[in-house]
Amino acid sequence: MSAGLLFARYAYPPNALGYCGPPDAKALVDASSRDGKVEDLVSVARRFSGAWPYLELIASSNGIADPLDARVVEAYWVGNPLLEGIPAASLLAAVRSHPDSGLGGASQLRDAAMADGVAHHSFHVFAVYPWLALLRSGKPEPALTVLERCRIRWGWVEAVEGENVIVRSRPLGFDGRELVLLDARSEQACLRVDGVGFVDDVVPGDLVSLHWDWVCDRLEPAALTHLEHFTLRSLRAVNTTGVPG
Amino acid sequence: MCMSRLHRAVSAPAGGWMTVENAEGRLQRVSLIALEGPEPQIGDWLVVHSGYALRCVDSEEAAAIVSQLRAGQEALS
Repeated sequence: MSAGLLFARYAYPPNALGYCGPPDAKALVDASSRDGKVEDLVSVARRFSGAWPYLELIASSNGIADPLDARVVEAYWVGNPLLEGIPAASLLAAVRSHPDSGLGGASQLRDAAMADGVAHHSFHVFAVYPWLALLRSGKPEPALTVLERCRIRWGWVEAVEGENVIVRSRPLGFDGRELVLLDARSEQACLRVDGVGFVDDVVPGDLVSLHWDWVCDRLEPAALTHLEHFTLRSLRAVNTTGVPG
Repeated sequence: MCMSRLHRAVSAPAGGWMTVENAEGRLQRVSLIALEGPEPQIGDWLVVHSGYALRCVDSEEAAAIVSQLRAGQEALS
């Protein structure tokens, strides 16, 4: 799979919602298509200023020149061994260059990064934004919903209903102090809207990844292992923050 | 990933929602449910993440954020 398509699979859902990236979500789809130009893809991807610092960090830490190398893109969204060995100080420096870095509080970010934080999308969702602090202040919604939908999650397809699927996945929960994964439940996600979709021929039993309301990809077992591992690692990192004393 | 952005309120709050405009002129309806303090008014600056207004910022802080965002964009270009 091309790096562009892999990037688009995960970047498109929030882009289509208007939450990040360039204003025209079709630009991402066009740039990542087989006929798209590499320079267009780079130009579009750089405008995802939430993701780009992480791609640069992962690439430079592993001696890879291109932040849009498929291995780098996979590492950021799903996770892979490229994430191991990136020093916490480098992670912290990269995240601090992000315009959103102060939203969740400097201490939350610093503490999470130093507590085995990792340059994975889940870390950005859990540690950079203020939603965990809002949860801890007693405001469960919309904090929990945003955290849940903004992270990349995984699940098994139970049913296909036209352009939608029912997926069994473990949702995020909050026990009063820590973020946890709860027991699996069913949720609906879309395969395609207005002709845009990233996974074909889905059948019950398929293992897929989800971002916001979308099915992004079909996951191989190794990818599931990585996604689960790095998601849990990010959860452990942020759960060490905000501890009194 | 789902980056927050600075937006300016362009409509009065109604039913816990209001319309905001980002620096590129893109309009978006945002929920005010996560916002602390008094309701924003037309012209106020808001930090928005994933469709939710998180906090109001004064014009001085807004200018600083815009400057930071522009510096980031220039560094990327």
